[in-house]
Amino acid sequence: MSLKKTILTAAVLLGFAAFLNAAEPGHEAAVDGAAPHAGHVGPPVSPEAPTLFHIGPLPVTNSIVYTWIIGAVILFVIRAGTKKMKETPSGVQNVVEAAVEGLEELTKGLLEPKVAHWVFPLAATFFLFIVVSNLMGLLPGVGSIGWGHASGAPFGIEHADTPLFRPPTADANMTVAMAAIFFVMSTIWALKYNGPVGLLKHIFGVKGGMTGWIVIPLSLIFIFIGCIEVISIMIRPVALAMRLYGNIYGGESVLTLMLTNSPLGLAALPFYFLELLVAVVQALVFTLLSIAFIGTLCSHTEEEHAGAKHAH
Amino acid sequence: MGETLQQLGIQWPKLIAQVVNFAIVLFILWKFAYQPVLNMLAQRREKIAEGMANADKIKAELAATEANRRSILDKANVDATKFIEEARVAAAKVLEQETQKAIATANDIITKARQANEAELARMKTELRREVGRLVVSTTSKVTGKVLTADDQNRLAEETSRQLASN
Repeated sequence: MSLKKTILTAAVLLGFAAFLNAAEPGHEAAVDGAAPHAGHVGPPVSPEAPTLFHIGPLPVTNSIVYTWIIGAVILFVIRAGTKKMKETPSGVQNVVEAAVEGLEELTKGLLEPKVAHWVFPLAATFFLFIVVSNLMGLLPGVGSIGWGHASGAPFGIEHADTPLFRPPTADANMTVAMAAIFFVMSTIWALKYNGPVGLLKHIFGVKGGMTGWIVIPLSLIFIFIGCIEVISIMIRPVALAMRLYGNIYGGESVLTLMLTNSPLGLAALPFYFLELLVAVVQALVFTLLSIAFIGTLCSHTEEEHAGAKHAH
Repeated sequence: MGETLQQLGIQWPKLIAQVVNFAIVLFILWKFAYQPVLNMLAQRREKIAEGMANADKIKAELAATEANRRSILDKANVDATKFIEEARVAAAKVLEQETQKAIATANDIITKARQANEAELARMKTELRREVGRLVVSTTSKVTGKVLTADDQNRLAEETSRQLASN
């Protein structure tokens, strides 16, 4: 039954792609960022996600469409796993429980319990969304079905200049959006944990438990170090966003090149295995770095611990 | 900077749309995955802890019951030994009493039998004397050929009885 549904879905998608290809001349004006169809020039995959249509003033890109599909898939899977939860888990419930528990343990292992409680939902969503997005980006048809210069084959195109679907993690808007959310939330949590004055002390304060006159020259050094720390804090979201975008966009580009420039696209096969690994590793890297960055802002140093104990 | 953002296609409407999309995914996961799964895990942890606490409690209760059983058994053994000893003493006492009673009864029976014998003997002696007296009177009357009067007969009989009694 599910096989029939899959075949039916694939047929519908192929039919839709064919329809889009057939309607290509009229569509051309609506697509921005797409390369000219008369012979493909430029990068194998456009660095920006092309806009497919508009909802009012909002441009809807192929990555936004695929984000909706990914959201629907996530919703479907977790509803299947948690709708009728049993005391003894089995099937999809087992998978969902293992994922949630594993991510909770990961967060609790790196952060103080109070901070881990705040951070867990966001960190877990980073991982689950990125990993599902990256893996679904490897599905056949993603990046290859869309609008482009017609080839000789029926409904065929030489190159999908405007693909119908694009993994959200290969769109800088999504990676920057996630990094922005991380930045805003980490700042809020840092202020909640340390307080405004505590946060300034945490960044610019003299560390090492120094007392006496030596604190005066040291404070100048630590103010300078604090400035570097502030720059580092500001760069963190940029690094997170660009690392993920670069890896997934690069992977997409390599796969497209290998698929189009080798007999039957066989050269892409080893890269698919590599991309499977990259899909999981990049999700883990984004999540772990987010947790670690929050951990640097929401943790007490040794002397702060000692001070707190004395105060008690 | 602006050129880079343009090349990457980063635009406020698209960025905000993706922020909203991610927030929706976060909400979906929070509502339908994290909350129910974390609640279920907490419940399960609670049940496991409860089960382990119950197991410890049951173990302690079992040990207490075993100790109690042993103490009851020991006490029962002591009591049983005591009761057996008391029963033995009581039985010996009863045996002694019954023996004494039997001896007394036997003595009583013997005394009564002896008395009855003596009475019987006396009665028989009396009868014998009468018979002998009657025989003496009869023999005397036959030997002498004389008809004895009633007074003679009485006197002879009494005389014979007296002599027999004196013997």
